[in-house]
Amino acid sequence: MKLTIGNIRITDIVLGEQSKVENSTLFVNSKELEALLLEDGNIVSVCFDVAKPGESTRITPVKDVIEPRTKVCDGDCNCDCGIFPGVVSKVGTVGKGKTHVLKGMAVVTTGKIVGFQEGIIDMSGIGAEYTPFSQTINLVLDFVPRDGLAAHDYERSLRLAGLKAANYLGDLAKNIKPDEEIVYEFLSMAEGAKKYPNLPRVGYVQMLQSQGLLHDTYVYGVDMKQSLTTMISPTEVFDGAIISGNCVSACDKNTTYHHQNNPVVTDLFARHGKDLNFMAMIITNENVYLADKERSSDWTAKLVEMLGLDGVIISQEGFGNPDTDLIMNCKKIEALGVPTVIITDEYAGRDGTSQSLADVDVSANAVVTGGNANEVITLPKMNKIIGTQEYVDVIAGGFENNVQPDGSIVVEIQAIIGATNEMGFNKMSAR
Amino acid sequence: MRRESLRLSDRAKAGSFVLSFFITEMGVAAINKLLTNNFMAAQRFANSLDVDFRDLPPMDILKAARDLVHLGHKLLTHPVTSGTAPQGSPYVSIIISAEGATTDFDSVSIIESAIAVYTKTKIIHQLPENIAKDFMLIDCEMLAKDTQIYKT
Repeated sequence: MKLTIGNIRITDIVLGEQSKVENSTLFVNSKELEALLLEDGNIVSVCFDVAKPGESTRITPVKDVIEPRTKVCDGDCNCDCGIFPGVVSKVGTVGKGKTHVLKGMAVVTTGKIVGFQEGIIDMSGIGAEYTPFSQTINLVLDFVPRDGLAAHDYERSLRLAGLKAANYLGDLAKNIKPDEEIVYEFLSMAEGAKKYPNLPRVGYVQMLQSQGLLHDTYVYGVDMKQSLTTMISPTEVFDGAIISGNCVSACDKNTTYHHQNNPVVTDLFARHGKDLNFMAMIITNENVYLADKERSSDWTAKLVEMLGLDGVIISQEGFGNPDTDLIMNCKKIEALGVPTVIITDEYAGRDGTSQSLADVDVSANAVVTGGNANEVITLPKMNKIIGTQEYVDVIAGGFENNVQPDGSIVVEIQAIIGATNEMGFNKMSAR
Repeated sequence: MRRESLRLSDRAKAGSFVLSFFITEMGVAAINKLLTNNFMAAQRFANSLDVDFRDLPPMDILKAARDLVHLGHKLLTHPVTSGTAPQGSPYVSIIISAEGATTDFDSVSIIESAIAVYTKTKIIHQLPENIAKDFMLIDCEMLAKDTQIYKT
């Protein structure tokens, strides 16, 4: 499957009369977009705001972050598909043809679903250094639901509203000439094995959070907890085949933006044909029941064996009991004689001296960490809050009486969106 | 709440006796147990599980689960929930098999790891009522599937 990504640089967002992309500026007719989003009767109103890098602005609680994209296939890929297939666009295989991307910006959705919902994006100050979304120009959508709306329904409405908004904006770029183009080609197993017979066959196992309300991920619209471990072309993720319904564990949840820009995938593509042969991407889930964990990790290892891989990278999502899924995947693949590298993060206590993971095994001997989520920092007071700070003391990473007299807040970095992301889409390093 | 929950637990046990008898006679499996400090979960699963509600902190629920594991029960769900817990949530719900003949060492390992996780975290106990209910709801939802489908 061959996909050309055309990046269209966005350097400003202006709320205006007409929605369009012009001279690297995204103009948004907020009334038109609002009308589209309010077609969902569960949403009473939506407030639009723009947050730019360097501003004294805090966005919280963040539900999702999404990058606007659109398909611009000209018929040569034989697809009639759209971004976010099975969710916003009709079901149809994506990951081929051409995709335009509004690069440098993001749609950020916020709205209180439950009282401990979390996720902070600071656009300046020390907190900005921990989140990649301090570097994007963010169109923030703050939603108000109808009274009495159940948490399930509100989560779904918010999730879909963010995707619809991103699709609406992405479509504005259909006829814009990209500033750069990147071609990704993922060969069939037979072609790939033949083309690079002397390079190690490397696969990527991506674990997707799937534990229930506020903890779900969808693939082509399918709730991943209902799926057996399966395979996907890595080019499909660039077109929104995987979307986030995960609203918790801000530091290590994968937003939809993370999925669209999965750095494990892009790095494997960058080294494909040089020092490795990127042969497969396997997606698996993280369920609550131990029997599910056994079944899914059995299937992960089975697929690795059937594909004849020489090495596997495994990325986790979330913390706590997904550590057990991670170690099961690692152990079972290593038991086949296939070496693994796992990407995780740590909950090593505020002093960093506690055991980092809730589960461990000697076979997990090659580990990349996104950092210690329990690290404590003080976020300075921001002049502008988009959303509400009402719940910062009950979010994961917050604690009682953590708002200081000067307006600063003391949190563990786990409260910050993407701070310890387990795909490696973060900025902390020991280098 | 404590008194209500005891009554609930008694009802659940009475119901579970009938169900256990029926299932055993049918040659399937004995009813699984829900050990929880979440009253919402205790109510929700009263008809499908042998509910053991204890109005205790999370660590005490975990230690009670460890005792049961050493008596031959097997963990069916992971005791550390994801994302919200253990940092914030004061609620823990664990589904455990009916008593078995031998100790399951995977379960021993998992429950010991869970206790280690909770030992290093600070649980917020005094939550506003609406937020406490949200934590209860999420704790329930993590278990929300057919609670009888797995053999032990």
